[in-house]
Amino acid sequence: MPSIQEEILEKFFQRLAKADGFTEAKAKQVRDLFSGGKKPKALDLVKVLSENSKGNLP
Amino acid sequence: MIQIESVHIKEFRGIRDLALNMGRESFVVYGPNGSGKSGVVDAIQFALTGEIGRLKGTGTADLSLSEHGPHVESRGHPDVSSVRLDVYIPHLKKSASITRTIKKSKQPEIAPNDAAVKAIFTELAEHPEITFSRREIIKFILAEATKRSQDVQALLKLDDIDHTRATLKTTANKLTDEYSTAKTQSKSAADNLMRHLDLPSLKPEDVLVVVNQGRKLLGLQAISELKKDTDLSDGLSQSVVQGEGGQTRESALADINTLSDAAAKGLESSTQDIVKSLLQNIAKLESEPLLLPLVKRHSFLHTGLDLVDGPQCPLCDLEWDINKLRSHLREKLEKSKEAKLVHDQLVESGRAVSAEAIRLRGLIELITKLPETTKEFSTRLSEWSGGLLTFSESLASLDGVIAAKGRFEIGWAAAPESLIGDLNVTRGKVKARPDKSDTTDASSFLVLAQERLNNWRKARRDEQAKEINAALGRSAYKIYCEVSEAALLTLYREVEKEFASYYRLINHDDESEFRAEFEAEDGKLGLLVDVYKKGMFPPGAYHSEGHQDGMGVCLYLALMKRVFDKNFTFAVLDDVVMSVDSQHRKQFCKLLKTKFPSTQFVITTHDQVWAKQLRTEGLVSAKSAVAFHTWTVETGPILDAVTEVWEKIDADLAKNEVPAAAARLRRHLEYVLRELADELGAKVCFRADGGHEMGELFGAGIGRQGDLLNLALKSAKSWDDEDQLEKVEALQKARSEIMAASNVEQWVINKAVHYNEWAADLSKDDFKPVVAAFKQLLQQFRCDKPKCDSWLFVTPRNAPAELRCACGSFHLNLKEQ
Repeated sequence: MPSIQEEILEKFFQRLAKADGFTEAKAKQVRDLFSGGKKPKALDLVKVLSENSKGNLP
Repeated sequence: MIQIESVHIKEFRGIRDLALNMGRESFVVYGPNGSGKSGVVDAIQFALTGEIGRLKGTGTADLSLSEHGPHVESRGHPDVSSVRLDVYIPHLKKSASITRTIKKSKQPEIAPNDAAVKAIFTELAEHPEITFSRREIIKFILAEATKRSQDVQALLKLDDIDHTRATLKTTANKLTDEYSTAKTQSKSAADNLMRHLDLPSLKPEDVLVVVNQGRKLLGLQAISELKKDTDLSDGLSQSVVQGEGGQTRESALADINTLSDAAAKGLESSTQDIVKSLLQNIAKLESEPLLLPLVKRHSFLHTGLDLVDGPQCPLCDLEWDINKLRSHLREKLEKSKEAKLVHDQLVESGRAVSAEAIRLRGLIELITKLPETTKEFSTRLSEWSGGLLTFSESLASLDGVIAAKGRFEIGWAAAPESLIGDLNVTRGKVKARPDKSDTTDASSFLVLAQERLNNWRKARRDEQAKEINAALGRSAYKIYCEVSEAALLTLYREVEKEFASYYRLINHDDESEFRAEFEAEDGKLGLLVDVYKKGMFPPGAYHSEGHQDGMGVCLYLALMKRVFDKNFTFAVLDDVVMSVDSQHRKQFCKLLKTKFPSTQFVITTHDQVWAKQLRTEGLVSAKSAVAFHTWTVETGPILDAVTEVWEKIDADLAKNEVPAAAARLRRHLEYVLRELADELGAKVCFRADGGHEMGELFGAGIGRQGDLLNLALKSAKSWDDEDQLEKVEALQKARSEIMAASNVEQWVINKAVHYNEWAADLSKDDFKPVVAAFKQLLQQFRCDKPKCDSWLFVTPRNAPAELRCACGSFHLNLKEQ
């Protein structure tokens, strides 16, 4: 039986994949950080969320 | 989860050597206070978790597992202090054992040592709440909302949820900070470009007008649209772009003048008001020495106030008047609200000054690059720029802002003293540049314009990327909060529904419409319960202590069911139902039996009546009960496990230790005769202290047995019940033979043979028949079905209608037709 934390994380990942600005790949990267019960640090998340972001020229 | 087959405890807490066979069934340990029951609870908890809850928490600062876990006679020998549990794991259909010694409390020996079994014990080690004691009831029912939230979350293993939320919050904050820095850098790059183009803004049409003037001079095609890949120097030869570009005199002078004007005006002038406010806040912290600690302790105090649920300070354990303590903390908290405001203002001010420092560095860099800047001036500028970088980074924390007070006072920019002079010299050199042709100037202008445009584009791209990242961070945090709050709300609704249904089952007679509501908000978990349909109130408002105890156990069971669901197969209830009144105990047993049929409860109680009720209601069998009737430091608990006493007496006699066997028999009789007198409703002279002589109890008990058999005989005759008649006559015959066989009455009644004298002059062979006679006699008072094995009792007690056992296989009608 999944723990409540696991249930919450699963719903979180699912919503993240559909959220504005998130791609499925990005959501998967976040999911991978939490895989196997890992507790990622904020810096790990910052790195994943910062990856591949590009602005447009003015 | 598990069910316990047996427990073996050695030299642990108050126990010397104790083996209990629980047989995977619910089990009750009863005995007076101080008889050693808690040692069993501690042992099970220790075996499963490697810890003893009683040695942790409030008031246990001087206690430790290694020093105080072993029996007092085994201090300094943590290796001999051990607990072994033989268990069954239902969902694996497998037996296993776990053994821990105090010495290696974190390294249990597990057999079989396979991954699945180890995983079970690892999970159990994280659930100390499997043992639930009376002192813990309050934490669910009468606790402050924040404390309740923490305890419930800890039990439900929700700590990780808060941890993840905090991590995502930190992530979002870091990404926002990065975006903030990128914005500053982008603004600085835009300023550089505007200055070079001598424009007040970067409207594409204005930029093109200026740029095309230069291009026209050079005979280059005008640029009609400023696109993201537009090259302002397009058409210039590569050699010009790479070698002869340089900065035009006007552009260089504009940069120099910008820095020079700012220095003349005061480099800190744009942050004057911010710095003033910042210094005022720092002065405030200095003038009120208590304020700074409060700034740092605001959240700590907030938590502390919520933790006050008794007369002891939650931090230092000193006793306070609870109202004074709360008032004291509230006063500090009120003060710390001001502190929090100061904290927020200081951090915000630091951030603003940091942004200005970054912009200033951008300007310094431009001057450093000028060919007219001397090597010495360039070195001073580089050192200044490096210092500004360190300074701006230090402003990221409150401590850094406070530590920079001196720099704020003298001028945070800390420009080199010779700055204005150096700039003047550089300006003079730039002005003295030989006139270039208009076309050369135009080339240089376009090359630098392109360079600064590139820088701005890069900075803008970075700013936009950081803006996206910050939005992602905020979004992830927001989604997690929404998902977790919704899940917790659902969870609490399930638990409150389950909790209320359990409570209604116990109190069906007068609270059949009881309901409960959790209110979860801001890390708090309020609990309101129905009070006889008069409204919803906190549990402690109108319900009695007994009802609150009942609520505590019900809430615990509801939470455990939510955590383990079908795997909730084991729990220890340590004296938790002592306040449940007798009318509701039957229902409590029903709750455990009907709602948790697959759960093995190990229940301790000092209430003998309650222990009996557990048996009468069929929650535990006679074999699944053990009574500790006394405790000594040398022996540990002395118990009356009926099935084992005869084996132990036989063992004594096998070693020819007749005095030991005699002492054991006497202790057993003391216990059993008291039980029998009670079960059979024997008449003894009332004694307020309950200290009846053994002979008195024996006479009353045996006499009562004889009377009851006579009543059963008369009843059988009146009903023409041949079966009962035959049964009673057989019992009476056997009883007479046993009584005559060893003259057991004399052994009990004659004080001269009570103690050591009883056995001192006896040989093993003399004593064996005595033991056999008592064993046979007492067996007459028990059910002979192994699964029942209960004492016979009369019911109803005040006007006996039958003599029976718990399972009903022994039954004699006492009523005549």
